Order: sequence, then structure tokens, then C-alpha cells
Amino acid sequence: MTSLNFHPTFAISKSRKALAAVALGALLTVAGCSSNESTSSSDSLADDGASKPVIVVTYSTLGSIVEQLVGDAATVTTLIPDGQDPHVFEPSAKDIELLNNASIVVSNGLDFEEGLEETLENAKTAGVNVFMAGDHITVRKTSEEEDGHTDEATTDTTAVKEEEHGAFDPHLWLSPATMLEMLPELSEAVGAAIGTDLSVQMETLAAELTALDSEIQEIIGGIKCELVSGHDEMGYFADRYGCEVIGAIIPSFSTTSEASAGEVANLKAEVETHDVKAIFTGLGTSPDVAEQLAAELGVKAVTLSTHFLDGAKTYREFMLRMVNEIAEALG
Amino acid sequence: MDWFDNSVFIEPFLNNEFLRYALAAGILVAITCAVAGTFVVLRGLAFVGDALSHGVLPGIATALLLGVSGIVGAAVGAVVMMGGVSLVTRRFRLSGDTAIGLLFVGMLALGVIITSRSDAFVGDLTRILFGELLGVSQSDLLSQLCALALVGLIAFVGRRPFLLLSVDEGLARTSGFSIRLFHNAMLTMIVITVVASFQTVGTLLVLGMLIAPAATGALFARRISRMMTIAALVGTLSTYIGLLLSYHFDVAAGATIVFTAVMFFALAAVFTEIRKALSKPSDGEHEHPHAHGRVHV
Repeated sequence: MTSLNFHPTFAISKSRKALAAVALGALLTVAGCSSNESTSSSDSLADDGASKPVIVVTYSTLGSIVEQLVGDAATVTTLIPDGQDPHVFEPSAKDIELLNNASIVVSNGLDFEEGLEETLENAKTAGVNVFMAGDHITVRKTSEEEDGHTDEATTDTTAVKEEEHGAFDPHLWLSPATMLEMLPELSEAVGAAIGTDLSVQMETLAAELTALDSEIQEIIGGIKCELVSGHDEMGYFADRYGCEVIGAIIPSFSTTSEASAGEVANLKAEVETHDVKAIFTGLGTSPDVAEQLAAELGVKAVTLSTHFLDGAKTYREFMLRMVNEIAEALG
Repeated sequence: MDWFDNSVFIEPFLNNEFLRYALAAGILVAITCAVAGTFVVLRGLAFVGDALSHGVLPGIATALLLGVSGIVGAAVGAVVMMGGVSLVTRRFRLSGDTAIGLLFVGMLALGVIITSRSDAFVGDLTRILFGELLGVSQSDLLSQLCALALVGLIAFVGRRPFLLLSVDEGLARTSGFSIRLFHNAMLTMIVITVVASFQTVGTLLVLGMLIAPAATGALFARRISRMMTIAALVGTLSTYIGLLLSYHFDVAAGATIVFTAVMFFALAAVFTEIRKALSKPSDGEHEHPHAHGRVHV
């Protein structure tokens, strides 16, 4: 049975230098990438705000709202860098330190930041002030039995977290009206944490969100809004602007699930019956699956940024870009 | 409902192009794996395959970050990995599995590091490891076909030395050909198989396709060509059954296929044991190729 003993005799020695060069190249590339990363992700920290209170917001769209709210009164740091999937982001040691020392932490709370759950829980136990947006809005949820059928999702006026079954839709930022709903309590909590009265700023922001809401209504009103998305993310948006959610490649509120052949086939049938013009895809969904499905159906696959600012300077800019992309693809 | 109803077994594929593509890709992977996997099983290279499946991660991640083809990245990752293994074993006289283990974990960790702090990372680790079988495109099929052709060519050219290496390295040493050359050729086959698979069943799950069908073949056959045929059949059937299960029961496609393949082995093993027990009084000669003597070409 000598055959099964493994003898590591591979590689030709001449090529060793070449291999070393390749390895070095790879390492340098990696080093180059990571150094870029660290400068970009920590720039908000490097602000002059040494004396200012620090507010940590878990993800960028919510961060943008908080930033507008507090203006110069505090330093707002977004934990999850743009481009990372907030559903699965895992914090580094520095992130946890930052979070533990924040005046207040603003998070989504509806099982959105799955990778941060433990960190947030620990921080709360240690006495860190955590504001969870999901506690202050009308939460959309789907019960287990009807999961996958977003149109059957029910809404509830209180954040009934006691109810164990059923999942909460965390994608609350995709409707300015929902953001508006939690704004008074957000500004109160943040204001108290940093010792500043934010009521004037809140009024301005509320006016802006209201205007944005009607702007979106106008744009979406002009099209037949039927949405197929990457995962089940468009619920709040669809509810507010009268869109119909036809389905999702991953019929789940989270990106951590995987698409199955049966689900993709169902979706295909739905898209065919509704004659939908485009499939939206994005973060956390396999672009390959979306593109193959779109090609098979003869429709467009459009990449849509729904989970982070992605270069937009403000929440408003982010929302309008998304809405215009939807309108363009379906119009 | 009739169990042999077309709507259960055939229609999902007739109605859905993406399923046909997935099936085609899966069958190509199954055949590629049958060829490479037979040698992996006979020569005991499963651990190297395992290591490679993780070793390609940082390469793929870096390639995707730079906007280069993932296959190129995977190939570079594999070369770095194998080079590292040979460096450790030859310079420091550590055993092969220590070197492989070191590189394996090192590369896996590097892959996680690269993806953990990168802006705009397209796709994530799980998608590389478990593949995107439901998103296979025509060009994916083409590259999988190329991989099959390359692996087939290497196996055909090197069939005699490979056989000797697999069954009796001592004999191989005295037979005059370069052991290192053909060992490397064998590793190249594995590398091609793993690298090509990352778009279909994923680099981790491909290991199951590499080992389970070939191991099933080894239970029944003594000739390498028959082992490969059985492995290809088992792999193809697993692909079909796995996709069907994924369709009807809403479970992840790639994992179901690989699990089916492993279950095939389990069933085959039980079947062989029962057959052996039944024929015990006489001779159990044609059962285990490993237990008795030689494998034939």
C-alpha cells in the first residue's frame, strides 16, 4: 500500500524563484489594497472632533441621516464601510472599541446587522446607549408560514419583538416616510446623549424628508412599479409608493440565505406572468444568477444600490438615484 | 401523482434554461472530476485537493477586487500554494501534510482577511466556496469544457505513469520516467479541476465531486477506465438528482448535489459489504481493489 502514502515531491526547483516572485507580488498587492482601505474607512475619525462627542451609526444610509441631524455638534462615524454587506459585516477589534466608547450608537436593530448582533448586545449590557431605529417605526414582518410572499406581509404598529415567530423586515431606510416616523425619537435620544437640543435641525430634516417623499411619489407615480429584487428588500418602499413586489432571487430579508432551483423557477414564472421589465440585483445576491435569469427571460438585469450610500453624499441623493434607476428601468 | 410523471423529473429542465445550464455544467464537472478524482483517490491526494480548494481563495478574492478574471486569480493562488508547500517540505524537512496544512490555513486566512476589509467586494467567500450553479452562463460552460479537455488530455498522455504512481511508487521509480514530472502533472489536473469549478459548484464542494464518485468507482472496479466511467455516471446522476431535489424542496443546489454524491458512496459501500457477507464462504476476490493486489489499466 505504498501508493497511498503521500510523498511531497512536487515543484521544480528552477521555478522556485519565480514562485517567490509571484508570492511577493501577491503580498504587495494585498498590502496595497489594505492600506487604501484603512485610510478610507477611518477618515471620519480623523476629523478635528477630538473634543466632540462621538456618535457611531452602524451603516451609511442611516449614518447620513444622523449626520444631517447633528451637524457640527458631534462626530458621526459609520461602522460598516460602504461596499460591505451590512447583513454579514463582522467588526474588527477597533470597531468594537469605537462602539464601546461612543456617546450613543444608532443601529437598525431589526436583525439587520447580523454580524454585529453580539457586539451590540455586549455594548448594551456594558451600559452603552444604543438607539435601535426598528423600535420606533411601524415594522413590516412576515410570518414563517407565509415566508417568501412579501405581498402577504403584515404590518404592526408596535415593535412587537416578543413575538418569536416571523421575521422583521429591516430595510426601513428605503422609505423616507419610515425614517420620518422615527425622527422625533431619534433626535431626542441623540440630543440627550450629546447634550445638545436638536429640535431645530430636526424640523429642517423633517421638511427635507417630506419633500423627498413627495418627489419619489411623483417619479414612481409615472410608472408601472413592479419590483423583482435581489433579496426581499423593497417592502417598505413598495408599501409606501404603491409598488408591487413580484419576488426576489433570494426570498429572504437577509442576504445570508442561498437561492434554490425551486425558488428561482418560481420567480421566473412570476416574472413571466407579470411581464416585468427588469430584475434588480445588488449586494449579497449572486450577479450571475440574476444575469442568467434576466437573459433567459429577455429582460434587463439592473444593479441597484439599496444598502449603502455608494458614493452618494446624502441620504436624499442616495434615494433619488435609486428611484430614478428604478423608474428608468421600468419606465 | 404518478411518480414517473414527466412534470416531476423532466419538465423542470424543459421549462428552465438556467436548470439546463446548471445540469450541463454539473455533468461537465462530474466528468472532469471523475478523471482527476480517480487518481486523487488512488494516490491519496485528497488532502492536497482540500488544501487547494481553500488555497485558491485569496487569489480569487484579489482578482475580483482588481477586476481581473477569477480564474486567473485562482490559478495564481494555486501556484503560490503548491510552491509554498514544496518550499516548506524541501527546505525544512517537514512532512508533506504539515506543509499542506500550513499553507491551507494560511491561504484561507488570507482570503478571509482580503474580503473582510475590502470596499466593493463583489461576491463573498461563501459564493466562491459553494459556487453559483444556478447562475451558470454559456461562457462558464465553455471554460468548464476547456478544463475537461485539458484534464482529459493530461490523463490520456500520462495514463501509464499515473497508474504506476497510483499503485506502486517503488515500481514507478525503477521504470525510468520522472516521478516528479508526473506527480506535478497529476497535481496540475487537480488544480485545473478546482480552479475551473469555482464558478459552478464552488471550490469547496468540488472536493466532494472529486472524491465521492471516484471512491464509489473504486469500490466496484479494478480497471482505471471502469473506475472513471462509474465515477462519471455517479457524478452525473448526483448532479441530476441534486438539482431535482433543489427544485422540488427549495434547498441549495450545489450542496445538495455533493451530498447526493456522498450518499451514493455510502449506499455503494453498504451494498458492497452486504455482497461480501453473502459470498463469504466462497472467495471475496473481486471486491476491494485495494485489499487485493493491483489495479489494471
